[in-house]
Amino acid sequence: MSLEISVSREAWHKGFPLAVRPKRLPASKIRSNTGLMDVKTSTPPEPSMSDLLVRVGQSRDVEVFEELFRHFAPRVKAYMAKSGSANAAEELMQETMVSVWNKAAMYDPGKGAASTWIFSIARNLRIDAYRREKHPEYDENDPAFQPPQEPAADNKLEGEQSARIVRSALASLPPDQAEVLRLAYYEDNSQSEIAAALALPLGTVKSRMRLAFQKLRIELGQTGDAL
Amino acid sequence: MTTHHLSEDLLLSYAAGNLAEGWSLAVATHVALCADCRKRLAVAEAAGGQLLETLERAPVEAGSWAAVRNRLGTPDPVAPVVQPKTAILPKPLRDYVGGDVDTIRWKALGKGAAQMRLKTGDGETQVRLLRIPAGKPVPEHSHRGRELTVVLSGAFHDGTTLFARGDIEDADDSIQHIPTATEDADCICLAVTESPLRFRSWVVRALQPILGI
Repeated sequence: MSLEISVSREAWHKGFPLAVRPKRLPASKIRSNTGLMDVKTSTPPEPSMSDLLVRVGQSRDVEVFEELFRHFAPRVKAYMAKSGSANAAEELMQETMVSVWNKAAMYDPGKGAASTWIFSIARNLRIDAYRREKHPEYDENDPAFQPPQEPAADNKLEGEQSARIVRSALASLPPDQAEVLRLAYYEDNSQSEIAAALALPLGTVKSRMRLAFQKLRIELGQTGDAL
Repeated sequence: MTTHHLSEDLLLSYAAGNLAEGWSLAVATHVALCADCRKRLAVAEAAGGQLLETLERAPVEAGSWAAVRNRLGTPDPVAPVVQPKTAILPKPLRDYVGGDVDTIRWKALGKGAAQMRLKTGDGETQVRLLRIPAGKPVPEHSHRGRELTVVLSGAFHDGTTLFARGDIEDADDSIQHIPTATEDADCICLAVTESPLRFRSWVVRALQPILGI
């Protein structure tokens, strides 16, 4: 699938005032990210995005939201463009970003990074728009909900912290495993479609996904579990 | 505590958003009842977030930010979701049933068993709540392709394996199996299978080259 996604820095910045370019990132956040990130990507350090999202939720500050928009809008649009036209992708991106604004107060940085939270909003809108289906989800306030049996303090990583570990683990996956994950998450392919696209047996696709996922869990220290 | 969990492929497909709604409902129901799988799901969703970060960016329209900015109002205060004091069915399932177990509109299947069909938008799965009488096997249990079963109350045996509240059984048609409710209570479970219509269309497709139609 080919997409028009290359863009010069100049063209990219055209719609945005200089004032909203990345700024005032706490030095500690920058330091904590370097060395873990895939060197090929030039994304701003992740922690600032979650901090910004929290601030939007608290203060409804449009300028702060503009920074989030500037960072996430082209990524969300690329995500949407994987399954539909550029027009539809633009519309769904705008829909996603308005939804991020509206729901920002519900964002909990302890549960996951801003990117994780925004990904799930975009994913649900994509399912609704392209497949006319719902994405049923659990609700923490549900009385039927089974709380964890272990104490909450047990090895609990902050959302941002675990996001950085996941990012570095993803960057170090063997290319064949990274490929099946990318196809599953972004091309909206079922595992049998991935198998067909790569001319691989379904079992191979499943085992690559399993290995990739296990690697992420090992890096996050989830290996002590029964699963 | 649940002892039968989600496979990696279900968990990842659900997180990635490419699992049909019917299967997703079984996953969401299990996850509501299983803290271990919620932890695993958090990893799968974090992977989605990080892959979003590394996507090649698509240029947005020139007026994109202005258009979005114009739509940024004061969000309506979130109406508190009214939750019952207790519930047997987890929230995602209550949304499909229209309430908890007492609101299930059972249709008799004979021999004390009953079912309620749940409607989804996917057109490829058949989603049902099943009530199996204590000590009895699941009636009419022939399915094609994959079947996901999540126990909501009571328990069932499949061979020597016990499935209790929250447990998920992931079976395919290569296994001849007869889930049987335990003696102590009726078993209520969520059962998701491939739609018979979808299966018939496969059969037709498979036969086309042979029959020359």
